[in-house]
Amino acid sequence: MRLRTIVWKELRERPTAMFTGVLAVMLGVTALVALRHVTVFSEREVGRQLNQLGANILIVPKGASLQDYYSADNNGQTLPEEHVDEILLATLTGVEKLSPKLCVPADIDGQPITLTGILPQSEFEAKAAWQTASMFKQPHVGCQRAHSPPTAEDRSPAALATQRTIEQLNHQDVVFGAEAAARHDVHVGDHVTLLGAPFEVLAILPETGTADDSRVFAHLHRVQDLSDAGSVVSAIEVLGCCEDAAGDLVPQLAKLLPDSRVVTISQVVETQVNVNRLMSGVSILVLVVLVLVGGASVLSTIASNVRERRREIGTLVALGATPRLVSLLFLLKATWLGAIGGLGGAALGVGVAMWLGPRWAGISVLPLYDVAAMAVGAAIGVTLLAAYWPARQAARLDPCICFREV
Amino acid sequence: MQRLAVFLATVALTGSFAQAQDASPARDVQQVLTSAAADGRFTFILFYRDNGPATQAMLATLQQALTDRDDEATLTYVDVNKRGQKPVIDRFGVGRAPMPLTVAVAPNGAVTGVFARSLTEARVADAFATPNMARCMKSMQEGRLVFVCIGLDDGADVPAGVRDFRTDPEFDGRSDVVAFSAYDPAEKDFLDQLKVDPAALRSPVTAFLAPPAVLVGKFGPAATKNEMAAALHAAGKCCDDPNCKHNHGGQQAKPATSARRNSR
Repeated sequence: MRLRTIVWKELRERPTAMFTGVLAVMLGVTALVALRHVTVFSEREVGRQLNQLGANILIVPKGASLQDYYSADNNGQTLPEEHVDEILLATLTGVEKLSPKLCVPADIDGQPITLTGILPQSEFEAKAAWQTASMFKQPHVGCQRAHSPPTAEDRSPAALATQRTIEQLNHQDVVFGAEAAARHDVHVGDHVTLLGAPFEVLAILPETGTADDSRVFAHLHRVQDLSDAGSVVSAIEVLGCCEDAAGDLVPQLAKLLPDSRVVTISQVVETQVNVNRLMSGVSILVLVVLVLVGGASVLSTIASNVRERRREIGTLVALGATPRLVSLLFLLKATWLGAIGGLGGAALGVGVAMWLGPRWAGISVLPLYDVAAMAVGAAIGVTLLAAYWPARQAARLDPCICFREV
Repeated sequence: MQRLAVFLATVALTGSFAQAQDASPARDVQQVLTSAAADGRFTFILFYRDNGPATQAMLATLQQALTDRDDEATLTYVDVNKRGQKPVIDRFGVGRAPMPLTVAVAPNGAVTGVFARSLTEARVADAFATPNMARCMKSMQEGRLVFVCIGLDDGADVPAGVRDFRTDPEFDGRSDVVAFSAYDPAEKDFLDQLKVDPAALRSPVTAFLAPPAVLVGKFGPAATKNEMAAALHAAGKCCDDPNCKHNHGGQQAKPATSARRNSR
């Protein structure tokens, strides 16, 4: 009979002991893998937002919640739209584009949806004169670059997903987020009714993984008229040309618009960064718990196993089994426990993270094979370490004493 | 006594505004602009939503500032609540602007000043752009590049580099030339802003301007088309910040900004 067969039979003969040992390891690994997955993807999301939106500034009403940059404009509070023109008239250095937004609830065939009013950049052309008139007498300092005509990429409606602005948008047009289009089975050129008015679908945005995916975008002034909201906006996104300019702009904008809250993307994601840091700390704690609880459980299982199997160990040794073989027997059993618990825990942990990630943290989670492999390795390592002492004790058993006890 | 004086002044101003309001609707603002342009006068258009204290204060400042400039400027008013004023409101894009708001328009149609909510006499005076400055503003407000060719005599020549630039397929039809003499007294303010000192000038100079109002560079008569094009591309990158989105490869240079910020 081979060593592997002996171990497998031994495990099958004591299913309860095996189950408790595996369960302890598996739960620890599940928690570790799930936490690590959510943390890693949350950190990636923060990094992506900082890279993509680092130069952007959000102007929202004073009491607006800022848990998520992309949802900050959907807070039920409003600002006067004239703030947009006040920013333009102030001709602040570093302001590239302005994107005021108004979110109102709407429905399509009875299904609720968020309708977001946006102002196309073409609307600002008439106001270009304001900038020229005010800026002409100022020297070219810092981030005051020469404007160039919009590129083909700027003119594409998909720019709304990548650049947060759209060049052209007629009053009769709507742009659907990817998820909203799929949910309502809407295609380019289709006609939809929103807030009682007919619209034609101009474009469907590529998936962004943000709240924008589930929205429908229309011209700000049409949305204001249809919703009777008046000349108000939920938020104004200021697209700065660089992160440093954004940092310098915040106090100037705060002074210009004292009734508003002015924040950079770094400030918006600060909470998320702190949560990520906390989760990293918790991951370490879970690893410690895995080592202590899983290790103690395996130690107890193997140690009691050695005690219960003294006669069999004595027989094996009497038949010529070396101490190394006896020791290997228990270490192999521990490896099996660690591997089964580790693999089960890793699979469960990935599943939990993929299910909870979008619900709790608003992020999509995909399997991280290196994290799963490391967790399985850690589980095997912990069980081997825990089994080392009882395995050594078993290897040192004297067959004469074993038979005398029997 | 002081309160009485303020009261009387307010009544007087309100009265003058009411008279002006009565007079203004009869004349289409477009007609005012056309007439002022024909006379070579600036037009100051006061857009207002109500006849509140801010509107009164702005009107008072405007009237005061334009007292001695009857031959240079015309003042007109637009009530943004009136449907008939929509064309002029749309033309200047002020439908949702903070009110009251004054727009200064040069005889050539260039907007030379936009003032919201409050106004000072000094800012009104600043809105009187010189004729060539107004030409430059008009061009830039239409999204065009401008070569300001400043010569040493009356007939300023357009340098060969500028001519080559303007005929280059990449820039064809995108630029205007404004040429004048460095010794034209009417352009003193403009030359000051371009930092061109006629007394120190030894050869013609060309100032290259790009929208919204960026001085791309100043070039001597021997400057080539390529030098000007390079300066224009450099002006498009906005600043030397390695993380600037107009700076190619900015993302790769992330640590540089952090280091710089930390050193502040």
